Amino acid sequence: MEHLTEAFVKVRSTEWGGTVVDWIHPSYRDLVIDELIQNADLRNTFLRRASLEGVKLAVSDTGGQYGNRRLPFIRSAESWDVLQERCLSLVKADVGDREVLEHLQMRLLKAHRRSRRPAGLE
Amino acid sequence: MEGLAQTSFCCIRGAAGGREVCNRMDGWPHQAAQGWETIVCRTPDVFFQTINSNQPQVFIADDAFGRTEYDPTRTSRWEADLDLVLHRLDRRHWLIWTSRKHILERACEKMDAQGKARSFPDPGAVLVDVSQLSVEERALILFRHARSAALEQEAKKLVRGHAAEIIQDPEFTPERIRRFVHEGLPSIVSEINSEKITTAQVNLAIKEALRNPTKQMRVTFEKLPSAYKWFLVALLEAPEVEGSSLLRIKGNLEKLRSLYDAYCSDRTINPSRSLWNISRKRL
Repeated sequence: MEHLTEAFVKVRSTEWGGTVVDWIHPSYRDLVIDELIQNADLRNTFLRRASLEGVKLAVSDTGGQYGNRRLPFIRSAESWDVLQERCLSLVKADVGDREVLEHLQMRLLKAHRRSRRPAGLE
Repeated sequence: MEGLAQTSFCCIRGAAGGREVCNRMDGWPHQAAQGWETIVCRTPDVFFQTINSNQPQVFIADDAFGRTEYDPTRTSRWEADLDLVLHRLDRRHWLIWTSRKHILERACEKMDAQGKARSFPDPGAVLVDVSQLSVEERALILFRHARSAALEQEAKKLVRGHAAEIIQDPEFTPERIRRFVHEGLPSIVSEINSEKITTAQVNLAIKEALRNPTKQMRVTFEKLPSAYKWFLVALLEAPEVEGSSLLRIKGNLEKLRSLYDAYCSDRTINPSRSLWNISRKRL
């Protein structure tokens, strides 16, 4: 853990004795997101196993230091398929926030259709 | 601080970190001495649970609309309750939102507030931009970070000798200065000590450290064993503690473990299954 507390995370105790692990600064979170964007293996494994929070991150927009990071982990048609599969499995597992998942699924389908539409038809 | 006293509400762009916001406010020591309580709350729920009419309080909704990306769920929560929240604010109860510039703009664009909140947020009226720091404030930030880092003599000399350039650098932000002092400075000093670097190169190295602060971090990340990388990936999904009362009590370690296990349940991904146990013992 020292590897991480020196550079990426900070650990503190709550007033009630619990333990909180958090980023030293949001820019470290940005950095890990950027590394996932660059590394296809990490990214695809992330998409296959993500929780609802991870799915929300994958389809987020207005991200990054300057707000220009959009759909960070969707780099190909395959990414869409993996993500769709993950969303369906989360819905089946009923992880809670069903409304959010259904909303996400609709958003995903729309975005997927847009991404396959030929340029100029927007 | 003066504006905050009038409106009981403000939004800080580009701020870093909950209570640190207060510590950086000019008049805060005076408020703290008068018994003001600081509460970090990311959602209105925590605000309503902790507001106490007998106690002066400042509520800080750190990264109110998302930490590194816009989060529509958080905006909806503030949107739904903003009217009620604003009714509870007064001269002794203040609310501060902090947000990155583009995330705040996105949230304001989407927010459809009701009642008293309809006229809020008016970012133009209540916005504080931390990039607009005065020379004195910048100097103070550099001084405080350098003091807290307990620098060696050579490093202190370097900071003194280049203070004017550092303070005036257009890339100056409090976090970059923190990183420069803790991460960039030691390597520059060791190069000076080994006489591998000329004065002109020192100037360049300082500029580079301020302008490209994550370069070293990327190298560090790439060198991490895969188990550590997955721990950081799991942290991307860990809930923020200030968002829920239960997490404020229990912390997020348990949740983080289940997220980590989801990535590392397969031994082909993580040969080092012991990471979690090691981490836990050390924590």
